[in-house]
Amino acid sequence: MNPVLKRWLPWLLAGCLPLVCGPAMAAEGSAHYRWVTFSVFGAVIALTMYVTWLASKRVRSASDFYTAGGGVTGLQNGWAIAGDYLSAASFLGIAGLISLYGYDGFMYSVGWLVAYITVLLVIAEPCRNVGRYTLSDILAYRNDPKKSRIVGAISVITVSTFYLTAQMVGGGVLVKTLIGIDYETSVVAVGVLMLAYVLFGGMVATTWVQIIKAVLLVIASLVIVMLVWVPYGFSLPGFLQDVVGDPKVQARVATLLGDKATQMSAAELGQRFLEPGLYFKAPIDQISLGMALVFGTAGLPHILMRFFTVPTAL
Amino acid sequence: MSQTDVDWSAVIRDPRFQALHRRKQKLLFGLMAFSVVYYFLLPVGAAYYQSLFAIKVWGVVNVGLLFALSEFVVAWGIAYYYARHAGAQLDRMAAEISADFLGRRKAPAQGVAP
Repeated sequence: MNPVLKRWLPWLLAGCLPLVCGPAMAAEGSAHYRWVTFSVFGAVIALTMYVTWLASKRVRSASDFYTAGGGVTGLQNGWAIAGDYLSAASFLGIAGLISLYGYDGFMYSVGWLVAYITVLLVIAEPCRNVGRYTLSDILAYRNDPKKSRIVGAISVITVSTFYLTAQMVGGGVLVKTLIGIDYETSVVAVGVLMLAYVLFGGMVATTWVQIIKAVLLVIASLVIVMLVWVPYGFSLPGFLQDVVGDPKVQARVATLLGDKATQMSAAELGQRFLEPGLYFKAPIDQISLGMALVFGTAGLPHILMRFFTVPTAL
Repeated sequence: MSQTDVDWSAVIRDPRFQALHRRKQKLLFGLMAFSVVYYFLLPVGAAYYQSLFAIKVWGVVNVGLLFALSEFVVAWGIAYYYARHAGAQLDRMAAEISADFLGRRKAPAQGVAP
């Protein structure tokens, strides 16, 4: 278990860019406004590195490093968990899935939300009460400590390798697009930054970096929603009516449906975008996804680790 | 007083602890069962009752979309209910028991500065 999973950086950038230079970039292409991107990038790194430096001075024991000395308050930890949840997958992935598959993409965001309830009701308190530094502590509590730690380590490394590969590729591509450096360089830069936050600042820095990230992303999301919704006078049916009537959406649905689309009118194709089944053709796929989202997300190691940082479960 | 000095079997025998444990199990199991059932209505509906989900009720907004949005309301509702219920009753019961057996509880943390 390692807080290296805190792959916050690219998504932080994704969060603040629309605020600062999103509209400009859409109009002009990115090259002209690269200095804006660069300064935002630099400012965010400087801020978080400063936080890490402050935190590193406080880290004196193993407990400080792994669990912030158990001194994080409920509110702080709540924001940090929100930061962990607002990852690549939730912030960019869901938006992408909805734009590609309509209703089926929306299913993802619902599943992740309900996983919070699983975490709240059955995971959080026992985790906090039993664990000390890592997830393996929980397994080792009632089982053979050595064997359960070996199993824990193997499974964490296996999961993290695949999980982190996707995150690093995403981060690398994003940094490359935004700043215009080589892909290889940006992947290495993202990795070095992540390691720096965790190795020098431990859980205190990680918590604060996550809090900063969560606040920025929540603000950015609200701004984007407002900007998109204002032209429709905050009317949900009005907004979706425009989605349904869009020729590009209709063409996309026609491509997804293939032969079945030939007898459908343009309006029917658009409406189909708001109905399930564009991505998950077989019924069992929906149920499989639902289970993976609700029970899988509740077991994310970097979420579980957060519960070791609070002083009580009350 | 460190944790090893506590007579844990006396804690387990204490009727107040048993009452706390029972109430907590009941609350957690009930809420969990409700949320799992309510959530899985969504994928099951999306998989097997697509014609129901496709019924338009509010402009182009259909049953499926409204049901998916209702999951957000229900999830927030469960969290709110749990926070209120656990905060008002269970935490007080637990605090009383631990005050008797562990001595005074540690003061709540003030948070960590970076």
